[in-house]
Amino acid sequence: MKSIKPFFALFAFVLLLSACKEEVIIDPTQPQGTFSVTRSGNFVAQNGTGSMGIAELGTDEEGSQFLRFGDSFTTNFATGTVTVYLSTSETFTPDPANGNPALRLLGVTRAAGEQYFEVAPAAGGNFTHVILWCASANVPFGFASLQ
Amino acid sequence: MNFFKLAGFMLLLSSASVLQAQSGWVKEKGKAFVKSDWVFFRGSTYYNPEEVALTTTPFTQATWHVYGEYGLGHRMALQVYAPLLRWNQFATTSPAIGQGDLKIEWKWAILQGKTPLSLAIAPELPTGRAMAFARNLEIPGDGIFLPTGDGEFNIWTTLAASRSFGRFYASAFAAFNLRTRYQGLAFRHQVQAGAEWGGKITPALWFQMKARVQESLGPGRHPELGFVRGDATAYTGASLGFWYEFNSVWGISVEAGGFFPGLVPLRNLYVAPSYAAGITWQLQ
Repeated sequence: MKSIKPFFALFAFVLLLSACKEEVIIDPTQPQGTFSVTRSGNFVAQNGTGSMGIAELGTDEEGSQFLRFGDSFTTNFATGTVTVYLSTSETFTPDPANGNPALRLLGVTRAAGEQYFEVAPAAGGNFTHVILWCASANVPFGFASLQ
Repeated sequence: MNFFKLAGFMLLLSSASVLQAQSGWVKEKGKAFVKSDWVFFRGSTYYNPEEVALTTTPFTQATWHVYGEYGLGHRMALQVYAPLLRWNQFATTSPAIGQGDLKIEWKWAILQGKTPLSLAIAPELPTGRAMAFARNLEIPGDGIFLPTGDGEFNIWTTLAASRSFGRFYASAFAAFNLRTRYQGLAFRHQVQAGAEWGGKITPALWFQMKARVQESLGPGRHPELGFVRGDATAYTGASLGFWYEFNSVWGISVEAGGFFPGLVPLRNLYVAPSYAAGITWQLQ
């Protein structure tokens, strides 16, 4: 019985160290620290989708660029998911043969409310609009002009 | 514009451009008729609920239907319309496949004789895949619901009359579709009216010309019932078909149809030709 006491002591010491160590998980898809807005605009609905809410382009404390949808953001999710693009105009202008220079696909949204989309690499000032797009049917759901 | 106030129907009705028959005749006791056919449709012109035409990714629908009618006697017949397999697909997505909504119709002969008049009551059961989902093949995580049924229980009531003129015949009908709810959201009711003219070209070859108008009643309250659930759909449709009887039992049928601007505007609907081909079986 004497021989196992040191092992108990060592086990208790390790537990104590673990308890003191705070685990930090960094989610690169979310802004770190304060999110500073550089440009923003409100959604204009298209095709009766009821799209509305604010879109904000900005950076976090790490210098990473993000697009944020505000709490009041909504669109029509009855058809499924909706893709989110940065665009150089309010019109969806694909040009796949040349790498779609007028569009940047940021991701897919499935629900209303606040959400962030990482913009990496950061988009230049020529990307002036956010477009909500039903990619399966190729139908616009709305756009926001970033100013 | 409102892309979504309709679509169920885009999905559920586009193939109906090959129109179901309605007549005043009721199958006699012990007699039966069965038709099994495929209906194919492909189009990219969609009329939204604001009656504006949009060009979308090409949409394809193929449906295997089985239609049967059997004379029960006492002036009554049972008719079943079963979309056993429906294939919905955009050019950008995987297919959404499943059975459609089963319709069971009780038909009663109000008047018989030279100008028969019938009344039919047809509950349509939500047996289809109301949440069938198609994945976008180009964008991971993206997709669209392409249901094979609208997810609601509804009842069609149809009044039809017919008349023979030698080797030709004519029929006319009016119908009301009492629609209910999907996930607590109320659909608009629908009305239809139509006519059919047909006859024998030869002793074994028949032709059928059909026309139909459909309108939805009242203002839409739930845009989410639109594109994928078929609320607000309105159209004028016409079709031409032929039926060849090999013998007293077996036959084949072909039909082509489409929608066009007519008595009502086109609304919540894909517009393109649709085609059907099938086999028929009779018990006389």
